[in-house]
Amino acid sequence: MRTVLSPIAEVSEPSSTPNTMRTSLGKRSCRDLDDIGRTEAYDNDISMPDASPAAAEIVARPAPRVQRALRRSPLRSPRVVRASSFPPLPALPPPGDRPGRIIAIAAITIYSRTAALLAGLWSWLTTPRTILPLQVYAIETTAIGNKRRAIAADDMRTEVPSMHDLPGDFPTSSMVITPPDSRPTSSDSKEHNYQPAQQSQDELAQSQQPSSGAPLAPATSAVAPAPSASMAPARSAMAPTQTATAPAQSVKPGKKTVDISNTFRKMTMEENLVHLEAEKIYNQTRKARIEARKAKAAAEAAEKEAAKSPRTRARERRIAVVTAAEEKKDARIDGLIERSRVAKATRYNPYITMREHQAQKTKAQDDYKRAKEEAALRAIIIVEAEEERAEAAKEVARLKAERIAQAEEALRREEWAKTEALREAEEAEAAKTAAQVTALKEAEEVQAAEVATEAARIQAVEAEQAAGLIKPLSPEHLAKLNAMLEIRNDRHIVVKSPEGVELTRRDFGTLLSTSTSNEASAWFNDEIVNAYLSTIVSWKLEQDGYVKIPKNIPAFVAFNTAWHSTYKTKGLAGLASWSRRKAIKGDRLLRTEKLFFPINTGIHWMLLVISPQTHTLEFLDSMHTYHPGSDKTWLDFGRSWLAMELGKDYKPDEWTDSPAQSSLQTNGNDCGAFTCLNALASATGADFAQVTAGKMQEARRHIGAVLLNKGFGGIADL
Amino acid sequence: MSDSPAGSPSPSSKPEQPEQPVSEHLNIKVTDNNNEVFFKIKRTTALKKLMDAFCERQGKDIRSCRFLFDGTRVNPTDNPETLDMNDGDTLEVHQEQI
Repeated sequence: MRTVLSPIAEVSEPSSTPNTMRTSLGKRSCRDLDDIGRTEAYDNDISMPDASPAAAEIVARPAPRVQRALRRSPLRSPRVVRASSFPPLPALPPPGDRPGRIIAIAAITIYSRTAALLAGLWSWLTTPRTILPLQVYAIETTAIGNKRRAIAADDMRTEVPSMHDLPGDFPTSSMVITPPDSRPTSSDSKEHNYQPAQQSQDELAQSQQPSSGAPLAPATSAVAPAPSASMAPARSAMAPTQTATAPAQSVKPGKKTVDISNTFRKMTMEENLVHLEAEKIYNQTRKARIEARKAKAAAEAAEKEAAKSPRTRARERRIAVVTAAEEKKDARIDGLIERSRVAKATRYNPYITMREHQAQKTKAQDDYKRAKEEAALRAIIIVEAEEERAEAAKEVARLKAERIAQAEEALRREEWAKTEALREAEEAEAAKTAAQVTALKEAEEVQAAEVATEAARIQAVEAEQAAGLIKPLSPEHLAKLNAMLEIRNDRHIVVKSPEGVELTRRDFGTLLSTSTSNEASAWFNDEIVNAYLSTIVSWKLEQDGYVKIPKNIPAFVAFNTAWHSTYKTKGLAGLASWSRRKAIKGDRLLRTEKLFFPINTGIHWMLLVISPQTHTLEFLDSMHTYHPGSDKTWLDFGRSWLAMELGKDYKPDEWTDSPAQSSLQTNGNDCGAFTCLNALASATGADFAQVTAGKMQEARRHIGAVLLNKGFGGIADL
Repeated sequence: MSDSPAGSPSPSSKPEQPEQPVSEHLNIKVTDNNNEVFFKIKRTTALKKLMDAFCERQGKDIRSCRFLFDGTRVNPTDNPETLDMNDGDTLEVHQEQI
């Protein structure tokens, strides 16, 4: 009672009645009404006083009944059919009536209502039976996760395109893809959420459309007139019933019966009215709502479309593909459901099968279209993705190029810095080199000055030498000397001395020693001294025009160095025959100019010169300071030799010892050179002071050159 | 006093004349003051034979030996004739001096 009464209180505003009522009731309460409220409502109605004409009350009071009627299971039978198949019986047999009367009443009733019955039967037969609205479950994908949601089977079959945009719609075969989060969550969508009763009404209305060609009703048109059309046969069927009831009531004016029949009649009328009114209201509201929804959806879509940027559109399209895939899954589930439903439906009505077939056909077409569109979409998406990829690649390339450019810039900068540093370094170097150059120039100037002074000195020396004993060798003579020194065979006979003695490379080796370790290797041997002295003598004699004939007396005589060993072994007598061989025997000696006695004691070379023309004796020792008194020994020898040679002609007082002294040697090798050069100086009458230790290397080369030249020609002026 | 100088050359000249025909072969002494070697050679015989023979007998290197006749250096190609050698003359052998 409470559930029924509460709407009564509420339904004071007629406009919003159906909506608010249903919303407040909910599914459970509706079902409760179906189960419980049948009897209660009946009692309620019975206990009700006479029907008040107020429309609001009419609407409000029988609300449960309307509800029940609308929500009545189609299995039980459509409401219209029920209205005709169970007409209100005006004369219910009161308990305790007679059977004959009852039969009569029944007969009259049957007779009077045959047409109505037939019409009802016909309508019942032709009316397509709707199947039980299945309570099916579909998986709804939400942001939180998969959620099972109960839906009515009718929802899945709605094919009105505009309906898909509705918030409460479950996208079964929808082409319009909405993101999952735009699923029914708003208050508005809640408000318009599932209304199975109304939907079933819609279903009824629509289900009649395919069968409109059937001979049932003249009313065939769209959704709006459908309810009225569906109601039309009911009313027409109702009318005769009422008219027929009226005489019956008049015939049997039984109070109770009249009351009951009145009540019934009232109830039926009321019910019909209520139905009509309710249906009218529903239709109006529904239409308005649908239109509002449509407009809203259109506006929203327009807004969305307007708000979408191409990129977001692309993204959404992409999302849509994903959603479509999900929805495909859903659709498969739905398909399963559908199939089961169809299977069920075929059991009941071939029309439904046909319709389903048509629906399937359209669905297949839609699917095909959708697949096509999806493919196109996918292609677009692929293209777009590729474009994006290309763009990304371009971006990457650009970034790379930028990076490269930066690196290049850095490199260039580095290079520049490097080159700068290099340039600076070069400048510094240049400065340094310039400084060096100037320093070098200065040094060169200094050197030039030095060279100049040196040249002057050399010139002075040369001048001195030109006037002196040893002159610088000509390149020709130097080349000869060098060529001789190139000989490596020490037995090689280089040249023959004026005496005809073969001078070997080894002899020259003592003259121009290259050894630095063995001092003794640079000691002149007897061959060199004898050769040089004989060269002097021969050159001198040549100058004098000496011809070796017995009557000619040579002006210059050089005794062989071996005289000392002979003198040592045989004494002066051993030398007696030597003078004869020199053709200076006797007093011929006195006509000679210079007699050279080269002295070799074994380790040292000295020279004794006897000048018979001047009656002088010279002893030249380059180491005379080391041999104190040695000069007297050799001078005494000279005198004794003179005495031996001259005999009685020798007058010691006539002979004087020359005080002339040789220059001192500064090493242990140059005694031979000193001896030779002193002989030269003596032969040329030059000063012995010209023969100095500093000139000994020159003297050695001079001696070598003279020996190679076999004379002094071009080397020295004598 | 005058005879003696006059007479002396005559006997000296006397033996010289018979000497000259016999001077085809000369007796030459070669000595180094330690060893003496006598050679009888022709006047035209090169003294190289004597020198080589002496050095060979004495076991000396000919390059280190200087042969002198009366203070005059004797070359290998010389012969008694060119050197105006007489019978009994002596060839002195000297060592290298440094």
